[in-house]
Amino acid sequence: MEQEQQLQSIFNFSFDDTSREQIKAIGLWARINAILAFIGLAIGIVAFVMAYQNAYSYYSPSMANGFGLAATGVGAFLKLVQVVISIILNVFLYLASGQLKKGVETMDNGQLTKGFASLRTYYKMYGIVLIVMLILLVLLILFLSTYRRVMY
Amino acid sequence: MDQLSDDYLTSSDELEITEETTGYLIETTKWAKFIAITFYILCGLAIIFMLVYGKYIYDTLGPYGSRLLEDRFIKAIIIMAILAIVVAVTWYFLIVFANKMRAGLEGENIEQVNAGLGALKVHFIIIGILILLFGILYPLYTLFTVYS
Repeated sequence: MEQEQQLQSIFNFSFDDTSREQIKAIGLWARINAILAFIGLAIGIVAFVMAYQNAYSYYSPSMANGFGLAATGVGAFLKLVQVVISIILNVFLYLASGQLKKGVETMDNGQLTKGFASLRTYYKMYGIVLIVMLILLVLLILFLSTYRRVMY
Repeated sequence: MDQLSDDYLTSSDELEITEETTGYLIETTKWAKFIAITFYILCGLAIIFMLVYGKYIYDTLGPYGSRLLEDRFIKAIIIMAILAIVVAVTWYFLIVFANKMRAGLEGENIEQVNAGLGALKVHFIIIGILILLFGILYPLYTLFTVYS
């Protein structure tokens, strides 16, 4: 009996029913988020292209309501970078959602582990993108302050 | 004894928290915490920046800016406050996930692990609503307003 209890404490650290429900819900919402992000991205691209086409013809860039940068090459480049990063991030989120859901439904430890690995990759990439953006922001602030000092 | 351990090791009706899973989850919590704290700092800096330089930015726009300041300053403050609360709540749940999950895995406490998973679920739900509002509905509204 004592041995059995000891073994249970060693081997029985596993996900219970509540965990399974939570993981299933996380998988569902992660999938919804990834799909919504893809839709948002598509709308963003359409809006960008429309603003780009109209920027020089009828509307001024500032009237394109927040899509002013569309008129410049820098804007196009930044949009492209944003789209690529977003697609990569959300592909990992979508992968994680499928693997987590499948792992719980089929009680497959391998799939579940893969799901958590994809979730880890998603957050890791998110963090790295954030670090790069922070570095660029600091560089931009330094550049602007130096530029201002030189100009005035 | 051998039979018993074999039963636990080969049991297929349980989803075990293996060492590999623990490793992935611990690493996830580290990055999640970093992201949440960074967003808090960025949000705080944005608020300080707007409070300190907001009037200056409006002033540089000339008469149009001062008219804009009169019309929209209070509105901008309210929107900023709402956004700050939304950011605070959203990333709070990610921090809760990171803390509880880590404590649960290190102490082998399934209740804590479940609390962490629950917080991650709430975080995903809020993010989903925010994507729907600001990533889909607002751009669509803008598109229709500008081009109709």
